[in-house]
Amino acid sequence: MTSSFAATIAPVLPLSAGVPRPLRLGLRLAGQFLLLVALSYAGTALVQATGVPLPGNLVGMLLLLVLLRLGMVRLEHVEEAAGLLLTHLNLFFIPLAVGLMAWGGLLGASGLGLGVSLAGSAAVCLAVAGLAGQRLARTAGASDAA
Amino acid sequence: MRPDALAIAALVLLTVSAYAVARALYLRYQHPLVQPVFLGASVIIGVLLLAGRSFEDYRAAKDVLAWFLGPVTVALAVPVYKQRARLRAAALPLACGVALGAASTISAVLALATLAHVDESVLPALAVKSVTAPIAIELARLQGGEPSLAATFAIVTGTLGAMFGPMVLNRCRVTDPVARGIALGTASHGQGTAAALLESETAGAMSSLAMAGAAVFTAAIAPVYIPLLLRLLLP
Repeated sequence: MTSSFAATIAPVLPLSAGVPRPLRLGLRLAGQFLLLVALSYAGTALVQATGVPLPGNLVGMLLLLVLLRLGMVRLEHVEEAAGLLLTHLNLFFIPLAVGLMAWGGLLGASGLGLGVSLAGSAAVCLAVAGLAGQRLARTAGASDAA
Repeated sequence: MRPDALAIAALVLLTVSAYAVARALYLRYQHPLVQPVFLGASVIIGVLLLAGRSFEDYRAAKDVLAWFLGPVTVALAVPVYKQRARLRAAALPLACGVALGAASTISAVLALATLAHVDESVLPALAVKSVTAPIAIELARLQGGEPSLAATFAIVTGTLGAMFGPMVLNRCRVTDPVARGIALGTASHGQGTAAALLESETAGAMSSLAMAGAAVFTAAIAPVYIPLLLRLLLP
């Protein structure tokens, strides 16, 4: 079970000792990255096939969670590439934020209203989630366990 | 106009460089003005405007980098899986905090935007602003909203939460690190999680779970909840 299909995709193969270390790390990262890409496409395909109103990449994430849980994918098959991508999460948001310049007209017309709505609703969320979480964490004793 | 591969590569390189500089500055100063997304995007917008270009000239480079959001979202399963023991201990506060927080923020943002007479066509994209950008894009598309606008709102929300979230929590006397993590992750996804990680490991762990939970919960209720709210709010 533990060495099923993921082991054939992710190159945790015993590469020859002659391969230099940086290259080995690069190959390992590339293999792990390909596994993440494959799961992302699998999630999208699953959504298209079933018509479930969920984002494909979210389904891909749930898929990986299930595979890890079942032991079909092991942490070392994805951990390094996942860590690298998540450390630099902000990089992938920058191009989306640049998209703001395409909305100059809208932001000029209702920028203040949008700003107040975003800030106000974020504050509501922080207060509601924080206070509910705090009350329940104390009753459940989760704060001591964590 | 069809930009050639060289121009795309140059723009991608520019984006990566702007990010690297902003990240180095942020690690050193941690000031809101050098927040990597804020500063990086400002630099690129500045360069494009100075060169007399529009967003259309940058779109191909954006598509290249945005493609990575697929595998990046899948990668979010790794921290969640690693923290599964902690998840069990805090399951109840996490589930309730995330559900109440996500539902209240969708209601609040739509109510406030309606009061402020924000254009109706923007509302579906606005409703999903509290989930992480790659998922907000997909949810907005499913709701008939504009994906790039949803990403922008998600990023503004993330930046606001990272900048001012800890202050709001202090004001509300939320001191428990588990609860602070839940609140930051639910309200401001990845950037909130980065802020929670600066507070404590517990807060950071709870925040990444809350971020994933908020995305799943919002995706689950969106098809019913958002049209319902819009019908109530719009005459």
